[in-house]
Amino acid sequence: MAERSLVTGGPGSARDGASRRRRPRRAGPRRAALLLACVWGATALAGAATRRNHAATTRADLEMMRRRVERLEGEAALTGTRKPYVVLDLAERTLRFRLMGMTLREAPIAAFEAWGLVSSRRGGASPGTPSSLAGIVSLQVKDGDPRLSPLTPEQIEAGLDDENAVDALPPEPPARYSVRFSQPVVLRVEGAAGPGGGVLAALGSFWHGLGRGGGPKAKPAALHLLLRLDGETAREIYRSLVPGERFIIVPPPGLLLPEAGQEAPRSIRPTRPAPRPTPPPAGPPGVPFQIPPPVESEQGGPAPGSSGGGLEPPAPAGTAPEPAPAQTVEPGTSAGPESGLAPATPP
Amino acid sequence: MNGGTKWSLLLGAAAAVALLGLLLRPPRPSVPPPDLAPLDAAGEREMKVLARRAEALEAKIAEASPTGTYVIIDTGRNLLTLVVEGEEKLKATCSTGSGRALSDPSRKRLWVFDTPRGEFFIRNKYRDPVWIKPDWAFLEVGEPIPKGLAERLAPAELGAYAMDLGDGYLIHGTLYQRALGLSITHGCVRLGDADLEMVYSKVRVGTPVYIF
Repeated sequence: MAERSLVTGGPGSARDGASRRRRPRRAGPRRAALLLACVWGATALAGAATRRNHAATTRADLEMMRRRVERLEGEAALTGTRKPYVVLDLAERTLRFRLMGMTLREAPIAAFEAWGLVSSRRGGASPGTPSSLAGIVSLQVKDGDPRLSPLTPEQIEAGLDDENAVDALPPEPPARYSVRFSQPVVLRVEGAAGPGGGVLAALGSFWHGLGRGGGPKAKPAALHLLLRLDGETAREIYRSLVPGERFIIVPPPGLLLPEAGQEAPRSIRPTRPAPRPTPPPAGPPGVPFQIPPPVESEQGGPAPGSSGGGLEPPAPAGTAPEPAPAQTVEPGTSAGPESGLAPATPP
Repeated sequence: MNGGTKWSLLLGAAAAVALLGLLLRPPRPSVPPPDLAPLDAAGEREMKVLARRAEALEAKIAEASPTGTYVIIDTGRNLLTLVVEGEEKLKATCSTGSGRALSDPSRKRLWVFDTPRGEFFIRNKYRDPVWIKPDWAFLEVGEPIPKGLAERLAPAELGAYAMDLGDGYLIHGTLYQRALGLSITHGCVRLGDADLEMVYSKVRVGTPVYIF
């Protein structure tokens, strides 16, 4: 029955007795071939699975995992500072601006060159010290930073900083610049060269390759990095970088960072979160101000439990708050606007 | 020495310097091929421990991420993004700090016109704010610093709304809309009229602002 059903529907089926007699004899080799094919397929699949398992647990993967953990340790520490930081990931060829667990910007690196990295397999399969897998460094200065050259009284007289004057726009940030860090690390950024810029870029790269990227008077750097980016991206990144900003440098697979005084994640102190302001309670409709504090508290100092000074009625909408006394800022400090109150701030 | 000889000498010197530079250039390490040797038992154990540590760290970092409504300001691109409940509601061109410094040698003062970086909160919201010009606003145009308050008032300068970020930094409007997209302010964040109104209507006191 089974044999009959086997031939049913096949070519020349049930045409004569001879064919019916021959077909059961052919079914054996066919079955065997099918069985062999199945066995071969299963073996091949099992082999592939074994290869995959082996690929997931090679020493190279372990090194990648160490690198990932080291980067995350640094990121966790820097997240606690509540300040932006940059992940310069040479393995993934990206530059990521991160803040509070968010990737705020990701810029691709077209190409990079590095001097000072060491092979992770030099002298055996050494995993390297942790800070060599993902190192934290702090930006110290960038080329042509306007912060370094305050405008002189003569320039002020000439109205050079008056951006409201017609055609008095600030200079375009550079596409090619060097960034130095508190550690002996120099980063050179080469934005895409414009017409005639190729020669300059080549010269810059050459100069940087000589180890003088930080300038003739710079102390010798343990690590030189040269990034090639899109020109506009390079300019935008220049604007984003401020002194004190931290970088996590992740070397490419198989290479380690040299000992360049990288900051340990544990040495980075977290910043206490600023108290989140709460909206003032809305008064009952039709009452334009809050009930003033009791008379005793005004005459005899603050009432028990009050923060001092009692409550002040909120200013009606549209009224400008009063100015605060101007601050005196000593040279060498970074200062914000002069007045403590909101409307007395720079536009 | 004629011009041609001079040029030949210069080119020869440049070639010599280039050759010297190439010879002195520190060698770049070649990237070794990945080590595909399988892990032993100790390696496997380490891999598992590290994987668990990585997961824990990623969770810790992700915990810090904001939710709800917040504002992101990109000083590099001069771009303000308003996120409401995880959705980008607005991407607006703004202006941020120039990074320039201004000194007042007579009183030994120095101002650095940077937009601060990091996490901030909206501390106050103002309609029709009046700007009280600080000393540097007069210094930078070479005008004498006035003594009276009335001479410092600039009612229309900040636009229709202002949102206080603390330490005197504001998100506000501008009279100079053609300059939006440039890094030219004294630290505040300027927006166009329509974008300013949108942001003002969506944020509340306490809304976080992230600047990078």
